[in-house]
Amino acid sequence: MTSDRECRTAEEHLSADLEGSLGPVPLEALAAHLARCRECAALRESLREVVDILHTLPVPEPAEGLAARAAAAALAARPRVQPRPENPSWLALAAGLALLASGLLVRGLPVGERLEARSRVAGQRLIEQVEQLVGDLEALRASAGAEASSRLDRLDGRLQELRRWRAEHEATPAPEARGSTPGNGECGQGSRTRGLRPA
Amino acid sequence: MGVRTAAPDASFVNETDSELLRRCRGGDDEAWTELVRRHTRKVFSIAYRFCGRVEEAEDLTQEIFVKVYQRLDRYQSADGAFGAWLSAVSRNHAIDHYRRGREERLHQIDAPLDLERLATSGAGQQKRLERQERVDFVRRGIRALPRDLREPLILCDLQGLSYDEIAQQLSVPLGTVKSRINRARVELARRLRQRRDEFGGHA
Repeated sequence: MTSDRECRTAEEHLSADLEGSLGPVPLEALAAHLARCRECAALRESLREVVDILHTLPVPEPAEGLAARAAAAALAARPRVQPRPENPSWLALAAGLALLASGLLVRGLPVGERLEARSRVAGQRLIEQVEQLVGDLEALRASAGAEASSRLDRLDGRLQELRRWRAEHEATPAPEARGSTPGNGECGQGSRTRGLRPA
Repeated sequence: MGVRTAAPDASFVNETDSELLRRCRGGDDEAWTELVRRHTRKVFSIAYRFCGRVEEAEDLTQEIFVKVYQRLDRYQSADGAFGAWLSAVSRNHAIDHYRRGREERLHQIDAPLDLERLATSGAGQQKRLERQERVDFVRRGIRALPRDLREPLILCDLQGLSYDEIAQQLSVPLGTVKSRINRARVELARRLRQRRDEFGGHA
C-alpha cells in the first residue's frame, strides 16, 4: 500500500532523480516507492519522455527574408534628430527682446523723461515699438500655449509696467505726435500682423 | 538601407562581431544588416521556443532586433560575447512579450506545426507522425501551463539555462525554481500519460 503523501513526495523528487541530483537517502526511498506504486512509476516514465521531447523540440528554419526584414525594421525605427520647433526659438528671441526692452525702459524711466523733455516725437516712436512688441508677445503667448506659459507669465509683470509707462507718457501727448499713433487704446491693436502671429 | 538576402556579404566575412558593432555605432547600415544576418537564427530560435508559432516568432524576432539596435550603446565587451548579450536581451523581451497582456494567445488552439519546415528524423512515416503528435501535445501543454510554471520550464528545458541563471532571470529563489520546473514537468507528464491511456497506448 502507498499513501498519497508518499506519492506527493515521490513526485517532488522525480526531476532530481532524472537529473541524478537526488541524495542517497531520498533516492532509496523513491526507489522503494516506485517499486510498489505503478502510478508513480508510470508517471516517471512519462516525465522522462516529456523531458526528452522538450530537449529535442524541433525549431523550424526562419523565413528566408527574416534577417533583411528585421535589420530594415530596426533601421527604420531608429530615432531621428527632431528639428527644433519654430515657436520656441521665436519665443526665446521675443522673450529676450522683451526682457531687454522692458529692463531698459523700466529701469530707465528717467531716460524716458529726458526723451519727453527732448522730443515727444522720439518718445512716441518708442511707444510704437513697445506696442509692437507687446502685440507680438501676446500673439506668441497665444500660440505657445501652456508649454511656455510659465516663462511668459514672468513677462506679464514687465508688460504691465510697460503699459503703465506708456499710459503715463500718453497722458500728456504732444499734439503733433498723437496724430501719428495707430490704435490709441488697447496694446498693439494696430500692429499685431507682423512676425509672430500664430499659424 | 539596402535589403540583403540571407547570404553573407563577402566584404564582412572576416569581420568579427566587435568590428561590426563598431561600424554600426558609426552609422554603417550594412554592418548592422550583416550582424542581424549572423544572429537571426539564434534570436528566432529563442523566440520560437517561447511562443511555438513561426509567424509570431518572426514578429518577435523583428521586435528584438529593433530593441537591440536602440540599445547598442549599452552593450560593452565586458558584458561577454555579443551573442550571449543578445540572447539575454532576447529572452528578456520574450518574457516581457507574454507579460504584456498576451496571455490569451497561449490558450488558443494551436494550428498544427508547419511539418514541412521541420527537420525530419529519417524514421518511418508512421513513427514520425506519432512522435510529432506527442510533440504537438507537449507543446500545447506548455502553453496551457500557468505562467509561474511555464516560464522556468521554457528557460530550463527549451532554452538550456541553469537553475541559477533562471533564478536570476526571474528573480525568484533557487529552490522555488527547482520546485516549479518539477511541477511543470509532472503536470505535462500527467497529461501525456492520460492521453496515452485514452488512446490505448498509441498517443
